[in-house]
Amino acid sequence: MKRKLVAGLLAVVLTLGTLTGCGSSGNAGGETAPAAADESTDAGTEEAADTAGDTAEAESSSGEREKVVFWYSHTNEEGKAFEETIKAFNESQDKYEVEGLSVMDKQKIIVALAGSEAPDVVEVSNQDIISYANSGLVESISDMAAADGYDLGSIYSAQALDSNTLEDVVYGVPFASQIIQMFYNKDILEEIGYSEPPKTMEELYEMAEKATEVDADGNITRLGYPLFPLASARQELIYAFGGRWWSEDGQTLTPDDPLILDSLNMNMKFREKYGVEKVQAFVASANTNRYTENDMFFAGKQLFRFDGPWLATMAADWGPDVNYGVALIPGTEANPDLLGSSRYETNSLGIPVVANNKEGAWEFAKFFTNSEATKETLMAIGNLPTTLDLYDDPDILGMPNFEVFVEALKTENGVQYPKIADFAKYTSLIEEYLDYVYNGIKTPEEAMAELAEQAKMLQ
Amino acid sequence: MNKKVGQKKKQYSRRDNINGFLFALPWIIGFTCFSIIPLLTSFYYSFTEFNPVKDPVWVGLDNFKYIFKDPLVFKSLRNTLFMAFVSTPVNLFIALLLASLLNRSFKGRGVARTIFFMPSIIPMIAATMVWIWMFDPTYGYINRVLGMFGITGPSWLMNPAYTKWALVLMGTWCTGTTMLICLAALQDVPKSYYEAAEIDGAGTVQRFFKITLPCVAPVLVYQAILNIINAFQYFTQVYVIINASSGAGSSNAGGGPANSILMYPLYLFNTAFSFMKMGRASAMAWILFVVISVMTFIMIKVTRKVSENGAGDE
Repeated sequence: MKRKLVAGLLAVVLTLGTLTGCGSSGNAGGETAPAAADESTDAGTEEAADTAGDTAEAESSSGEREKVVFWYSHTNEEGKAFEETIKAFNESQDKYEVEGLSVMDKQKIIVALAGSEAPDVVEVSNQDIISYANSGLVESISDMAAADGYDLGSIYSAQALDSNTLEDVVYGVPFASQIIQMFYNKDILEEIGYSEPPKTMEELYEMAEKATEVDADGNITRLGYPLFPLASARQELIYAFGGRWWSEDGQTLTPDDPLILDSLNMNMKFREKYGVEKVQAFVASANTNRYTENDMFFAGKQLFRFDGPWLATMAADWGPDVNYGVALIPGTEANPDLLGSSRYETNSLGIPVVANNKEGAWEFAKFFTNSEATKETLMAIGNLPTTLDLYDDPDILGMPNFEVFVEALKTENGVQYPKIADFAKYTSLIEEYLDYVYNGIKTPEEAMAELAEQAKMLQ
Repeated sequence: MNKKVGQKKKQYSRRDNINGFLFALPWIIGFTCFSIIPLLTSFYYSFTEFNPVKDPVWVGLDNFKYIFKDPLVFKSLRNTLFMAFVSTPVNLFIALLLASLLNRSFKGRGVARTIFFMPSIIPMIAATMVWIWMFDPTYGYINRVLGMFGITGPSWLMNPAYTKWALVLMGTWCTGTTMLICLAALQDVPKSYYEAAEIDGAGTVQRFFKITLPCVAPVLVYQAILNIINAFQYFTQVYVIINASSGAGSSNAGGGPANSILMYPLYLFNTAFSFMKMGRASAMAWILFVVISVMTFIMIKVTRKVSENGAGDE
């Protein structure tokens, strides 16, 4: 009888233990709320993020400063720069207290935005903003700006707003621009007899051939044509020819664009001249060693490199001896106006539909993206501006290479991503078919025709 | 009297059953909450279109129809089958070879066994990162060694013709567990068989094919089928390689060069978390579930048959 009782009790305890384990998350969340406030000043703490939303409403009703929870996708030094801007906002007024948290996990952001524990403002890419807008998760910035008499069009560049717009409504406040331009090795250029970087892709090809060197076994020891990084080969090398993977309105997929074929044919001409396998071997090594001290550009083994402004920061650390310059990505002889063509992306601030403090969020979003502190943050993290007034700011233009990048921004030649549901899958397919071409498995014409067939399945 | 004892036994039995059930209850609740309910939910989701932020919308068989039309599904299946039916025999061969060598008596045998088993306990992600460097066409050790023999090594992880072979090569490094099981099987072979064969004048090769192989066959078949099932869950290595190889701005939803290492589980993951098609991913998961169930059924049948044959021979 006694044994039976003990057995029964044990079973009940174990069962309760399991059930408590299953359902403890709610309590745990509640218990960590005070910790959330304490940890919020440290960049890189995600733990507090879950419960921060709850605290905002509670404290706002107590007569103190209203809390605004801000999630941003940066860590370390960049996170510290964000915290400085938050501090500047908190000191600039006495109505709101912004609490910053570094949250890098995209799944966590989506779940929070769809639930009831969302932050008041979230900093993500413009593609994420569009994705959230498609699902009805973020507020219309157009409406908030109109209600506040805040003229978005006179403050932010047109392409910055376009990249955050879905069906004529702006859903994200653009904070930083991301574009790619051309870095070149001045010493190699001089060695092959040129003093100026190329203005057209035809000139670039000519220089690339002269700069490329091979050893006795035919292995490439110095690469002229900008085949690396891989993402640039998919994007900027195509855009420079005027080729587009989608139509201007972003609704129709156009992998059979003849200008894409022009780009691929020049690319393959170079690869076939030096051997497809030899070129791929060099690119593979370059890819493995990218952004390290063995990076081919820092090692003086790459003449042209299509990359972002961050390459300058890395060069200072890992390639201080490389003598480089930056110029706009060339157009073609047929289309010289394409000078400076690049993908265009932004880091943007979105306000979730379920945010507790939308007014505070809007005030903070304006401050974060359009104030003296904006400039400080951009300079600290080495990112380009989205506001028109900063295009001519001497401090911004004084940053290494920013003059060229800002010049490219002014051309408004940025290529926007299409706003289709299957964009991620389309990108994956583009990469697959480019691989067929670059490995000599299919001709550009065959590959693009097959890609066009596949694209018909996409929405 | 006997009837009374029988009744008492029955009573105890029922009480034991209840006690047993109560003890098993925590596991039953856990299994129901974390396995049965998600399983049934995913079955329902496979007939819907949804993502984490949208309510499921019933679409009937549309997800399954799409899957059977999607060329990437078939490509990922082909890649997975390659790993299952090429990598498995290679691994088994190497594991058996190593086990045979380590079964012999020599100085430092214990150390050698430990060394060969060691790679199996290294975390897969760390091991894969090391292999990425080993496969570097210019600086990697693999091509350097090939170069010593006058062979120009390929771009292992860049050329679609070689990527899967690179995975096969990488797999041979982690045969420690299979090797250990083979070693145990080899040690179970009665020594008297070899002694008798030696008296009859059988050579090493004959002894291996006539005695060793038939004796360890059930274990080998079991391992083969287990490895094939594991191949259908091949994910970590390709996920690490693809993410480490794709630069900024590249698609993280890719499958390596020309999707040549896009394995079925990876495509399932991409469908769910990159393309945000949770319903379609659930349908893909159910197809995988059916395939693995069939494989398990075959495993049970074949293992039983080989074991019976082995027993009959003896």
